[in-house]
Amino acid sequence: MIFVTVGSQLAFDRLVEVVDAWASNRTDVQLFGQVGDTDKPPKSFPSVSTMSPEEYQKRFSEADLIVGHAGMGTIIAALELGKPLLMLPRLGSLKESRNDNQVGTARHFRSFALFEVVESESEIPTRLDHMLASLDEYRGASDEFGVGDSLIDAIREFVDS
Amino acid sequence: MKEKRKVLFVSSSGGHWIQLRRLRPAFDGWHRLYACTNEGYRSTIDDGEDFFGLPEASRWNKIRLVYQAGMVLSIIARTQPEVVVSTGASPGFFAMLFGRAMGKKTIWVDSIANVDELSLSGQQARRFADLWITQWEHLARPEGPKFFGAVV
Repeated sequence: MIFVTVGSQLAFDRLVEVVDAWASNRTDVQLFGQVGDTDKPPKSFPSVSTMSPEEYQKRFSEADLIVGHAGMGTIIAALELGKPLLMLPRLGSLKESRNDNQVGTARHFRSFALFEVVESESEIPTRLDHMLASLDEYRGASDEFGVGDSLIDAIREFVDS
Repeated sequence: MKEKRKVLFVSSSGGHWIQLRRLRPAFDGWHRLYACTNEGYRSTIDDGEDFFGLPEASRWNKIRLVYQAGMVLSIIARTQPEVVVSTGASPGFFAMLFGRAMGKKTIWVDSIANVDELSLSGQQARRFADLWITQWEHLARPEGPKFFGAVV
């Protein structure tokens, strides 16, 4: 199962539309979407606009692969649950977010073993085919993922000073 | 029995909330309170923690913002935490503002999503945050924000 998620804030039609088109040719693959408040929901797979944190966690856990934006919620969930994630950063210039911060986020996280980043939605179909064909390679992948002790220590020290 | 020290975490939903929750180890043994714009998180917190819902607001909707600010103010006044922590957006900014005004220790941890520059709310929170943190080393400055690592 592929879980397509755009986060809790805004719709992201540019991403969903291309996944929808891809899915219409890949009837062998099951998908579910969390696509935000949009008048263009996907036609080839079921979706909801928002979901509860429990439902989100459940869909995320059950998925073999996540397709989403380069939001920290999605990224941290993927790391916590060890899921391969294909991300397309939202662009400020297209009013998909306030600014281009997701471009920076994607640039930083693209080196992680579980993550693939595309700069254009046109790359999504090929990348999805490729990721689906090599799911086994992601299974063993793990990324260094912990809260920095130094950050926790700095906060502790500050509140005790 | 000695009463536990109290900390209030404030943020909007999504990535801000998830990062905020990852700061819990810094407050082991404390009474942890949360205020967030997503009521759905109420059922996801740990035993012994408390949750307060906040109204959603964007910076373009002034009336909602005032309502949200009032709620943040009222929660801090009622619960009297020793420390107020936020990772982001408008509720976090109000938490810094009112937390400081009420003499609480205030901590701003700017979201790791802001790789190239500090968030707008983070820049504005600066004046009211006793500890002002970025999660990116290249954004740290001698006069702040400070860098000590990240939640990821």
